[in-house]
Amino acid sequence: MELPVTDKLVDRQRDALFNYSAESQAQINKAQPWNSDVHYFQSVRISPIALAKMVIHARSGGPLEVMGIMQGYVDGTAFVITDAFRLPVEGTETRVNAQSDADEYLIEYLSLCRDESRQENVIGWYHSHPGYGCWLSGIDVDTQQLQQSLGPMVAIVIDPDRTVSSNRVDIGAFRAYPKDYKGPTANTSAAPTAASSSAGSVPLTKVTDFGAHADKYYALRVEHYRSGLDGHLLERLWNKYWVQTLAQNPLLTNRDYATSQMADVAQRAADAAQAVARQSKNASSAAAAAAAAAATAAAAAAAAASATATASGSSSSSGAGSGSAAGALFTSGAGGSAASGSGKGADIVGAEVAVRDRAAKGADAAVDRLTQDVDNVAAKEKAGLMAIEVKKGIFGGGGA
Amino acid sequence: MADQAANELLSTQKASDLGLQVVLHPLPILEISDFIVRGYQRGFQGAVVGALLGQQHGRNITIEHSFSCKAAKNNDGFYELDEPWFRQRLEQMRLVHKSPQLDLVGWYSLVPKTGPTAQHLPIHRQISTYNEAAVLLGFHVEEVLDQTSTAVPITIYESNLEPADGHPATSTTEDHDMKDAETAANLVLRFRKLQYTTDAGEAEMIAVQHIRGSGGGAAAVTADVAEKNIVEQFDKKIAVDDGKGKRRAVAYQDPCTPKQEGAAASTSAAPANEDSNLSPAESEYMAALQAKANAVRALKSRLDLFIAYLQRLPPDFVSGAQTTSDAAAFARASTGQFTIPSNNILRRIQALVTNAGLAAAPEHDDPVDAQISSLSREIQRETNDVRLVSLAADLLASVVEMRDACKKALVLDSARHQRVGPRRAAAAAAAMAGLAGVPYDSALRAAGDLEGVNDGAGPSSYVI
Repeated sequence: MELPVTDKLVDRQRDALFNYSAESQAQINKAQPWNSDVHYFQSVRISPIALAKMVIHARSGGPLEVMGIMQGYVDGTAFVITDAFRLPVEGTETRVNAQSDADEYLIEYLSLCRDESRQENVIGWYHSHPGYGCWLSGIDVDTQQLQQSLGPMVAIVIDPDRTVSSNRVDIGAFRAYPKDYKGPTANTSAAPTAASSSAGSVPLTKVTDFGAHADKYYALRVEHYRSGLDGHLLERLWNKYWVQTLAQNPLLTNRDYATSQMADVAQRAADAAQAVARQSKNASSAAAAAAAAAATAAAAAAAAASATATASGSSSSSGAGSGSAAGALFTSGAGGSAASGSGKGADIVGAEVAVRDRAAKGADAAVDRLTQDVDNVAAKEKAGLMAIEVKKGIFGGGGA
Repeated sequence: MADQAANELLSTQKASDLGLQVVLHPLPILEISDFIVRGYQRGFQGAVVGALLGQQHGRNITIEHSFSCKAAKNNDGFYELDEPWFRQRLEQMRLVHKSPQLDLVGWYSLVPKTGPTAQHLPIHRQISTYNEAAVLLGFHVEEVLDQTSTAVPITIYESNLEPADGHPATSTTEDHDMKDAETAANLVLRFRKLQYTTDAGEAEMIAVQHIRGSGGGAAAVTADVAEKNIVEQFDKKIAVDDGKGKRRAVAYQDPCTPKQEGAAASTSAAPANEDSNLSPAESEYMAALQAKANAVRALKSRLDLFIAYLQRLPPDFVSGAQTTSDAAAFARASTGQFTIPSNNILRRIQALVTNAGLAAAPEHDDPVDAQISSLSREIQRETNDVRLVSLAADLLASVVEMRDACKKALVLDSARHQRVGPRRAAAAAAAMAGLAGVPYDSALRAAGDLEGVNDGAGPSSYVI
């Protein structure tokens, strides 16, 4: 009944997220670094059971929106979500006070958790948008702003319909800006990652709601973790499906997704190139302007290439498109820095630097995200290719 | 002693065909795993006990959800559920799991491979008051630790009240006549293993596949987690982004120096587990490789089974001297030395071999040349696409790195060309650092270094 004394089941370092330190949580709650920096939180790390429970709950609601609470803690600039549970509320989109109906349930649930010595606090809430994508509506933004005033909270949205139809978990994590804060209006780091996500565009019935509030929140990077024991058990569970594992062709099943991802990446590369070009344009130099012109021309070429890619459905041209956009990024980055360096030098002071600083950081952040996404797609493609090569090796088909 | 207790509790009856059919979903397995890992990390001192929720239609039971339970030792030293707590929690679960309506179908705990012990009885009786047909899901920790086993380390037991002396009795009612010395039937709770199948809803399957595939390690970012139950000391490490999108565990430096995002210090101590340094993309690739390796192993074991079967057929039968039925009788009589030939099996093996020959296209064969070339062309096309995507990824990464290098070189260049005292150079470096997003003191250090080294003339613009 009790845990046997052994250190073989759990690795202290690898499974560190499963630990919980009340002292460090108290410390970080006193310091509250998120109050001084609206962009403090960068990512969200979700445990296996939290993810499974949220997805299952979202799906079980069918066309109705469902809602629940997440428990966890803060780890640096990330939220760690260790568990999630349902709330007995339905159809949250039309009611602002959906939250208050569930308060009694929530209080009782949490007191039972304390009794069984589960120490994690409430770290956020999740709800579903069946069929219309992962973003925050006006009501959601209000709810989230209210939640954030109570402590470090994150909002998660799941689209169960798109999850099932695209065969991958469609999930988004968001933090709202304070009420009086003006988020970056147009592109780069704001919420439009939700709209431009590969899951598809927002349906027309909801697009005004989406657009009206898109600058009031920003998206966090979503990561998943699992323990060594989880991996071990799932591996054993999956041994039953060995026939399917050998027979499947991941490249084929993931072709649509990979193509849309590459097109998305090409578009974002073009956007990032433009952002960097704009930043170098601010340094007011002819060379920079020329570089910027070259960048925008390359960006237009990339956009055109990505358009043809989605039309033809082949990933090769979108690969070329993102390549040329990357080239534009590169020249504009080099040209811009050189120009501004030889220009003002030691005369740059104060506010100008701060503004340019933020623009530079925004562009850099966009480029970093881009790199990560491309890496992910490349890794998936490689895994698919490996599957085909294994098949070829076993069954000897295909010739040279 | 434990063995004896377990044997007493395991039923000697054969499992009847009318027994319960159990379908197990992956979520309860993950919950148990979560309980265990959390328990070890946080020094949990109680019993690993939880309730199972699912649907029950007649003899079919599904186990879809679970929740951990509060249990404490009673006066006899056995664990018992906290009843009021349990009732409240069960009501809450019933309230939120309405479509489909889930109810209590059993409970789980850590169980030794030999079977449930007397320790499991009190809670089982408690659960049985809510549901007579409650099952016990036993999680076998030893089987997890056993490297050679590949089965899921879970056994599901159903319970029956049986007479103590072993004669089969079909009592489903709770007949507590143990005090009556007249009746011969002395009923005792006995457990019996149940076969179960695994299944998952479509959303659940997608979530679990996602967890399997792209889950990264659970290494912490900050090193401030206090350790309570220290089994072994481990070096505190921070995961530092070294600019390539990979997180490397770095030995935790002096806590007085402020954390700098670009300053990846050299790794002094090698990480205890190399796998903790994998980026999510890499660990996903490794998981895919692992799954493939297991699948290939399973295929090989099946093929070995066929080969062994064919090799051990009676020699007379193989040479054609005996008929099948005679050979079968002969093989049976030989008690294990020869395998029993069966025309059905042999026919199917033949079909398998023929089909394999068709699927694996021959190397040089003109009539099927068109087919081979189209297949190989297709594979080449796919390979090219994948390589192109990888090339784009590498290209982007190298662009970003060149940008960084360019920025830093620019800082040095501007500091060099100022040719003013170190203080103004420092101010220039600070300004350029802020502009270029380069950390301040690395820029300062670089400027200081370059001042000493490179004092001559040089091209002021960098041509790339």
